[in-house]
Amino acid sequence: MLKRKHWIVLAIVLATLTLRLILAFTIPDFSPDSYFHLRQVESILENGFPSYDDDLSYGGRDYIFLPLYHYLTAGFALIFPLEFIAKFLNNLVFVLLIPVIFMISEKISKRENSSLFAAIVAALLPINFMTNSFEPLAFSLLFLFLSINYFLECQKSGKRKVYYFIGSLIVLLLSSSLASILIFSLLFYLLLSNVEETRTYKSEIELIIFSTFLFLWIQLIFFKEIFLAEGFSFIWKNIPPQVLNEYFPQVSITQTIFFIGIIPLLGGLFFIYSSMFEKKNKNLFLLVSFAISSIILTWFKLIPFRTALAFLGLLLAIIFTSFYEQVINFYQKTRLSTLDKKISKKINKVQKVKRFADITSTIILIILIPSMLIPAVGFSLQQDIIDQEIIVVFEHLKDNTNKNSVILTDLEEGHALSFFSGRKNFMDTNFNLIDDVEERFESFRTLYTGIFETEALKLLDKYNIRYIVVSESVKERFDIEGLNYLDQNCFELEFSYQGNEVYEVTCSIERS
Amino acid sequence: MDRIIKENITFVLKHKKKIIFALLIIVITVSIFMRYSQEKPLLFTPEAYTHLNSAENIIGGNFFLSESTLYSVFLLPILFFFSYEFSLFLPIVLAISSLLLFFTLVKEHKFDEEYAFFFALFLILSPVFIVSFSTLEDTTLFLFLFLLGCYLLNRKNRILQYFAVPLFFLLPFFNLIVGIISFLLLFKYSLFLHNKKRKSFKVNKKESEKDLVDLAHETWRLEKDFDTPLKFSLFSVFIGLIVSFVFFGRTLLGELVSTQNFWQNLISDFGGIGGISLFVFLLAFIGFLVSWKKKELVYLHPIFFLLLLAYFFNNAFLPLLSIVIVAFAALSFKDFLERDWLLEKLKHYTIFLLILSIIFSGITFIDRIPGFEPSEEAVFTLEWISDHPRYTYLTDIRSKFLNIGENEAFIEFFTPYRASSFRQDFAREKIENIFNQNDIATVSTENQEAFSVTYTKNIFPALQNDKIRFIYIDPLTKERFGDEQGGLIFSLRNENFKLIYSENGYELWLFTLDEIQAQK
Repeated sequence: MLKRKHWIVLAIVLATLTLRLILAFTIPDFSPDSYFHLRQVESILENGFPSYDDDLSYGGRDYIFLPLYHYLTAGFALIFPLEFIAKFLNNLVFVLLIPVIFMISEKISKRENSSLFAAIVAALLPINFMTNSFEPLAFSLLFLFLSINYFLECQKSGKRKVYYFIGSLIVLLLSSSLASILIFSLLFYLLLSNVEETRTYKSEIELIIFSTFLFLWIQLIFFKEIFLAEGFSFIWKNIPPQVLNEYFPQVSITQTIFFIGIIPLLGGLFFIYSSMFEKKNKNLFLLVSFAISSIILTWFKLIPFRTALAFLGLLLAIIFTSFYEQVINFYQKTRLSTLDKKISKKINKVQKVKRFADITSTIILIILIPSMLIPAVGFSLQQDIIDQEIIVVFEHLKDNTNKNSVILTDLEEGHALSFFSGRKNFMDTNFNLIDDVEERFESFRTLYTGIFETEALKLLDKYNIRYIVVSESVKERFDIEGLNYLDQNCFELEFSYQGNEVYEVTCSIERS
Repeated sequence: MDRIIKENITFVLKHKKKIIFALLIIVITVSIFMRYSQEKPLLFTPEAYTHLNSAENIIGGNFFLSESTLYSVFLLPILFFFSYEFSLFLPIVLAISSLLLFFTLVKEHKFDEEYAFFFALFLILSPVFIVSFSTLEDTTLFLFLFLLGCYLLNRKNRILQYFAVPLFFLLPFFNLIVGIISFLLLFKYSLFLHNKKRKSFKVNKKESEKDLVDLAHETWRLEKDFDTPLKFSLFSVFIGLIVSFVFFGRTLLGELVSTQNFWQNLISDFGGIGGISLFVFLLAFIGFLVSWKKKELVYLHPIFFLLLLAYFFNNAFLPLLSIVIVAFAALSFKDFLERDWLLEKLKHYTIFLLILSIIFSGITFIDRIPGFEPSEEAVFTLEWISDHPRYTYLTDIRSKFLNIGENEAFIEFFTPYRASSFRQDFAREKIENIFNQNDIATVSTENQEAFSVTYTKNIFPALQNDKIRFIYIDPLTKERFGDEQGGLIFSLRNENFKLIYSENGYELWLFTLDEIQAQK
């Protein structure tokens, strides 16, 4: 039998899903990196396996990733069209996070109202409003928080929940490397507990040891080649130093406020700060450790900024409930309650606190919903997606170029190029296992900004590039109007559409 | 599932010795077969060829005290009667003998057999062990000599006990740190033996209620029969330290191999040649914390820190450091097994996972063995010189090969020439500092800066002064110095360099300036 709280959570879930789906289907297409994952799902549908030996990326290379989410999507794609299911599933998974956050909050605060706040914050987090992104992030976050939920339950109900924890952990481990945050946070929690001399349950330590070894083992099995090739630098995914700041930027306060929302951010941070000096609620202490460790990881650029914010935002949503509780408790202890007593002598203490809680809830809701909903919708409408115009260009290339042609386009458009045209890209955003990634990026820059034709031809020969796409995105990246070294003998305009041009390279150093 | 795991662990512990020896044979055989099946030279790592060079020099009568390695002395009989490939049997014999000695000592001293099993198991599956016992490495000989010495000291026969003294005397000849570690370990072992004998002596005395004369006599016998060889052994390590330093020029850290890639070399999963698995490292970390509270393991800590420091300055200490790390890992694993877990099933899964992971790391490493130098192509390239008499007989035998440090031992073994030496240089570190400079006023071929020089006015005098005649370029050299804008590889386009061999990315260049000048 569903209780009132369940109906409310269900309503939040449905309302959020509706909003997200409207946004997702209003905005055409996907974010740039989504096309890589779509290609992998297509590969699973065609061959039953993901394309670890990718012929199209970087002109042909090996690329390893965790495939569970792709298999899941492929399963649904057998029934529904891929593009539909990619949008629907991603948004569905995001809203499924809401009940999970609610469950965790309820475990911590034991109060329905404050837990509902957490559900609302989780539903409206602007950073998670990437409605047109098809990536395993949402799925991983769902199982990450499920793992946290079962971890909390294991402490008390013990053995039965251990299997749930292990199950959700395995799903997480097979879908994304985001599990690293969970493992690092759990270890950090152990360390903090030791320092703070907080009692840790034996089962907690056992679960943490097991999770750590399982995580490392799965990572080693999948990413053996990357570890061997890159050693400890695997953390930075072999991203060329020239663009490293795009993926691991300096922590920006304004961006953080925008992506997480000012109320949960300030409330959560205030609570983390104040909880350092107070006697610990054990479960809350775990979440505070998680939040601190994710901040540390982000600060030291060990996890991408946006991933960290998505995780931190959801954590702060849960911690925010405790902040709300703190406000209510604070009211009971202060003169405000005495003042209130004078105003209405007839009501008793319980009623008085309830009334204050209702008023506070209403005020918080009035401030919270618009302050999060507006940035969330704004962020969704302005999310980074591949332009329709460039897709037309890529589709033209599919019909008018040789199947083995290597095509130069913007870094961000590499996956989309391969997805729509089925042609080899020169470079995309999967940098791992590319030996000469720095050199390639320099060549990429030189090919768009260089002024000497011979130098360009030398590079085009070296990488066997036959077409150059000068898109709006590349013009913006390098602040250029077009190619500087264009010569009609060697570069023929093959296609032009809405400011995006394609040049065919008609000669090489030897031939020119 | 957990029942199966439990049964397996019980089975393994019951048949531990058989399993260890079977595993040892499998690991070494597979490692050797991996190279054999891909037609690679069976011996790999520069250290193996350094020992072979040293042994061949001794056989050839070019015996230099400071350049001869202790290992090469043990290679002499093999090289004298057979071809160098047969030297591969030596590490196999050493591995089996060392393990036999180890288990005998464990049994005789009633050490914890389970712990000994896990230690041996992790060690055999460690890349460092696989490398050390599949080729010619000092650590294997050190282990064997030390264990043999300990074994002999524990014999009842006094003459046998004294046989240990020369063995311990030899240990500092590897290098002085090894000497110091041997001294510390032997000191601990001596204390252990001494206390053990005293205890048994007291028991005997109580049982027989001997009189004062008997007691004095037995004390004298204990001193004479037992303590004296121990003292002699300790003293011999000390004397060995002095002799090896003063007369044989042994240094504190031995020959410097490299000081870079601390983590990468230590943890094989990050691409090092040797080292230990990531899981063994993590277990060792826990084991280190556990050992901190155990009085009987206190002696391991100074040895660990000493080796860690030595490894920081010279990666050649990795095998010894790895052994200590494996000791900590075995301690932690045993602790896992013995500790009661609230979630008993999870304990079995964790143990199963750990064993699987360590095996996985070992297999991954064995799979990489064929990729280690020297490759078949490298050997073919270097032997090409000897097969082409024009270069061998017309060139002054004192001429040298310019190369990056890693190839030095291979060049000296496979060609009749000497290689430009990097032995006393922090080669890689220096190279990184120099890499970006394209013009260095004073060039020395004794380090790799020669590869970074572009201007011939600088490089030519250096090559002439150091009698460099050949330049050896392999794929690694190209990877490091294949700059299209500068450096020696760029300068090879100069007319004074002549490409005499090029195949599969391996090149041999002849420096012909001397010839041209002579013709003029």
